[in-house]
Amino acid sequence: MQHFIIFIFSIFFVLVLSFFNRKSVVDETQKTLRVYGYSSFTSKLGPGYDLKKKFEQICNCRVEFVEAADSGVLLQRIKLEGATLGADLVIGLDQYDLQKALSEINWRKLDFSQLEIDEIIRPALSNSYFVPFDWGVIAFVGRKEDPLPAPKSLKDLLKPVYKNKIALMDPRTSSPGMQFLSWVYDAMGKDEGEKYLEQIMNQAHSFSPSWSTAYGFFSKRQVSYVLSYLTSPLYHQMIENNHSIEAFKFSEKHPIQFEFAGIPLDCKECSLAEEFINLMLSDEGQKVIMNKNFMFPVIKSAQVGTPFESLAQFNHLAQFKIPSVSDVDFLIKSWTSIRRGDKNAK
Amino acid sequence: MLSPFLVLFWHFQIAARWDWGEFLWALKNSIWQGFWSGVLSCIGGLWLALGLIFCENRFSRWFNFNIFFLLPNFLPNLFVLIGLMSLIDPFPIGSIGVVIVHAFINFGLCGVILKEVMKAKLSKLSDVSFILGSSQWHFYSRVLWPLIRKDILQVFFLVFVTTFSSFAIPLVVGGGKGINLEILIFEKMKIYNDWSTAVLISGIQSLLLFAFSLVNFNATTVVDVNPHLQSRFLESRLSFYLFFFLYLVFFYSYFSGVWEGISSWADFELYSDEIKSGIIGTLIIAIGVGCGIFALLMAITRLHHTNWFHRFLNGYVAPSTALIGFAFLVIGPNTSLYILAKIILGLALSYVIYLYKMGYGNYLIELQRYKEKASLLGASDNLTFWKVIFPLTHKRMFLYSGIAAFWASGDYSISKMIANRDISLALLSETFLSHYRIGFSSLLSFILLVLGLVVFLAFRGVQIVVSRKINY
Repeated sequence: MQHFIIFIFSIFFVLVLSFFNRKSVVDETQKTLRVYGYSSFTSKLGPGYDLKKKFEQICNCRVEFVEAADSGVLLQRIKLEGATLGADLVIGLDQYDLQKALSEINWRKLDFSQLEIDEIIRPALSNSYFVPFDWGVIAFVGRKEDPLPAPKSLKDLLKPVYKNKIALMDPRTSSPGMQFLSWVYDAMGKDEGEKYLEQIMNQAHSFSPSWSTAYGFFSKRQVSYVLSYLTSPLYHQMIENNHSIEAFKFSEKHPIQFEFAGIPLDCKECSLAEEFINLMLSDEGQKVIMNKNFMFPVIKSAQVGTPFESLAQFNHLAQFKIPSVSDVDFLIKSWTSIRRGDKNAK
Repeated sequence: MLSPFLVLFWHFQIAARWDWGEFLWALKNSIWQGFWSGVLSCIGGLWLALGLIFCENRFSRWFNFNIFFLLPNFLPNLFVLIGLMSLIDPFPIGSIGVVIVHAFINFGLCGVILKEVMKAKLSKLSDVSFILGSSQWHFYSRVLWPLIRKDILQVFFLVFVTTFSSFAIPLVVGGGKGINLEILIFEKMKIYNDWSTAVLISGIQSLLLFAFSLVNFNATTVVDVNPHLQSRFLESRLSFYLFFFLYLVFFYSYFSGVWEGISSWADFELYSDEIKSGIIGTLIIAIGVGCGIFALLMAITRLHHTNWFHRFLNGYVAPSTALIGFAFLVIGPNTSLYILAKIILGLALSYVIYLYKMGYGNYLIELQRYKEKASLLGASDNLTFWKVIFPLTHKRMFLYSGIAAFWASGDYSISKMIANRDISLALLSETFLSHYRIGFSSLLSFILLVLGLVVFLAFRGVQIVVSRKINY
């Protein structure tokens, strides 16, 4: 018994030492910029890794990423750790998270009105606390060789031929899912929109908790169409050399999703945080974000000469606005009611 | 055990925002889904148990089919869903779909548990029945059913509790009308930011399940040291081959994804540092949880004197994993070693109750008579524990520790809440999934399974060594 305990502790000790034995030498006198975000941004697969390396070369500081599962946990984490460890920068909030973020935490005012950006981006700068760093157009994605006729509108999706062929996301847990909901109401109005959503409940294959699950069904050919981004086919073209995936243009104007960054008021390294945002919005930083996230850059010059440039000509876009608390509340409550089968959405 | 609740209730003040309508509606769905998942799992598990007995008597020398049939229990939900949707096309979305998925995931677990129960209780009776000229139906109705019905109820309760508090499956395939209490808790947390009501619902959920567990269907467990079972009444060739075929089709879909991942081998070199770090992190968490479970089971065994303690453990249900994760996030610092310690503790606390309900609790009840005999002969508690109880329980402790280590290797929910980066392969696999790389994500999940298996076998190996040391 004693031998077992010694044996297990030895193995454990060696593993723990290996785990914490990092190659990088940490200089304790260096300043540390703590950046909160999602793993899709902060991991090596996302743009965060490259941006961190570039920034550390110029700032004489260390960048520490802190991941969180979703915006709710992210904000709770900032409230827990911000006062002691510091929360200098938050990355990855979308327009539906902004009001919640404003109500939970105090933020520093940012002024990026002088940025040279496309006019499409201008409405996203209408708030004083968050700056967009990339954007995407919501669209349905499918395969060119699919025998089904390509859908041309939201209403087309209700045709019997598409039954159980469409993967959607639950708007309560997924940002694109929320975008879809907003798309339906903006295009059809409240009453028609509710009727449409009641019908799509029975029509869709599934409402996945995340974009990755829904896209997984599409990748494994469980469904023919998935709600995604206009730029999703570019991943398959550029990385997999697969040109069979395409995004469909619908008659209803497509919604836009922005991703924002903000600096909490209690930041410890506030100037470093602003410099990091400046890097993200530079030509170099925007190229990194564009090529890793497969989303459009907010600085137009970053996409010149890339496959993103021609896609960015897509101009059938809905007017962007940052939804208010009551807008978000309405969307969630109506979805919840329709999902439960209540006749009248609250 | 109660610490996650205590932390959460202390952190979040209870506010008066309660909707009875939505609570009762979600409760109804939870009960419906839990009940039918339990029934289907038990029926399928019982039939599978007969098949496992058949294959154990013939093939156990070459391959342990228990692990094969237990695998769906450990795979990430997405891959289970993709595999099942390949099997059943079109797949029924709604409460029926939820029940089907849960039943499929739990067939193996129920089958393995019931097989062990049959081995322990019917090792000789089936042969005796055959010799005395009993028919198969007569054996099932007059011998098997009376002896194991409480065990079946116990297994039913185990599946009921798990599916009652299931989250990811109802969220994906439940359709809107399949919202259960766990999804309601999640809605409160994520959408309404109403953490206090979420904690309250979780507390009430645990109390309800605890109240339900007070119904006495505690099965008696025969302590058969060397069970041997070879009986034509209890072997089913059809069952084995049918389930084997079903699982093969299911795994074909999963492994085709793994194969696709192998073709993106170049990604391995690109992310080798993260993968190495993920492997080490996974091993630390798995071994840590295994050791934690072993320590907790030792403590439970040592302190297991009264019936009320057994009833409490049998009825207690840990809060939802999201809330456990958050409770540990709130306690103490969230840096380096503390993160690993919190994940290990959180997982150990949530698994130990489940393992206790899997039969360990009933086994301890049966050992009471040995304790009483030792006490009558004048042995102290310490002597009784080390010389009588531990030799009888150590094999199960190591087995359950190995199982917990296997589960922990694939944990995503608690780790995601507490960790501040992708410290394990499960988290890394999810990150790859969110970047279009489903093939590579499948490959990582397969490596994860292998690692979990290695740790499980390591615990089994240590158990063999310890058994030899104590000459048992």
